[in-house]
Amino acid sequence: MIRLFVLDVPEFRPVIEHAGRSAQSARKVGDYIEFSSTQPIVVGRREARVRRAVWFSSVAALDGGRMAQFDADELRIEPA
Amino acid sequence: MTELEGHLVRGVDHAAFPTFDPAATVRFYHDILGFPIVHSVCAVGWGPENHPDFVHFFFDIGQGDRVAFFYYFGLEPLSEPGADAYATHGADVPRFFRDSRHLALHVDSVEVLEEYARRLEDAGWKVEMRVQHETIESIYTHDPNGYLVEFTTPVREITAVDDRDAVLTLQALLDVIREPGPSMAKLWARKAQLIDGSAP
Repeated sequence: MIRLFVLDVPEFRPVIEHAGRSAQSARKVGDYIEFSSTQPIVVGRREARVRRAVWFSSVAALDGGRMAQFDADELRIEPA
Repeated sequence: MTELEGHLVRGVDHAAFPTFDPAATVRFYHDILGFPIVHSVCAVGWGPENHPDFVHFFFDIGQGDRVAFFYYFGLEPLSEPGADAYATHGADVPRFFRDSRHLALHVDSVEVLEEYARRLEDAGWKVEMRVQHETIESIYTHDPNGYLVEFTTPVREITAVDDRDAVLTLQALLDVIREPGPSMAKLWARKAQLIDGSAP
């Protein structure tokens, strides 16, 4: 099970919104949004309209998943 | 209308330095001196220089000013620290590392930021980058000595959420650098455990 955490602050809200489209569930855990999924979690940077300087720091924590891609185009986490 | 003449900078937003020893750095500034940990950025590397993944962390030094450090995963020291630690580098030292040492000056608004960009450009001085970061917007240039100088204005307030996240980031970082082969993936995994343990 992938568990992706994103800090719940304004600059990461677009990532939170788009991660929620591929993750199977989302919940608030402390200061973070935790996404859980047995399927890949995918966010396209341009689709989410996130600036590069913010994009590359948008992952707060990751458990049970593998960062398959994290470049200027896409964040893609697959089950470990 | 904003007054855009005269001396408009408002002191230091942050002064930044590279570190190869975040544990000793946290011990010195936080544990010994009592400076609060107030913000951190954990970013995967990108750009033309094969930039390593890094953690950029900040301590409050009073008056809203900050001292900040960069820790780069997998980067070995590029020179021996001397009296002026890591200040003198050969041409082989990548730009991102040289630019780790920089002074960021606070200005009160985007209009003042643009005023300084105008002053530089009117004098034929290149504004090399303009970047909207997580919580600040900045312009950058190099002074005649080759030092990176940043002018920056907040785009939002730093809150207790940022401070708590920074504390977890540094706790995770200090845990993973105790083991061989520290990496951003290991930091993310350790931080997930810490979030689990800290959530009410």
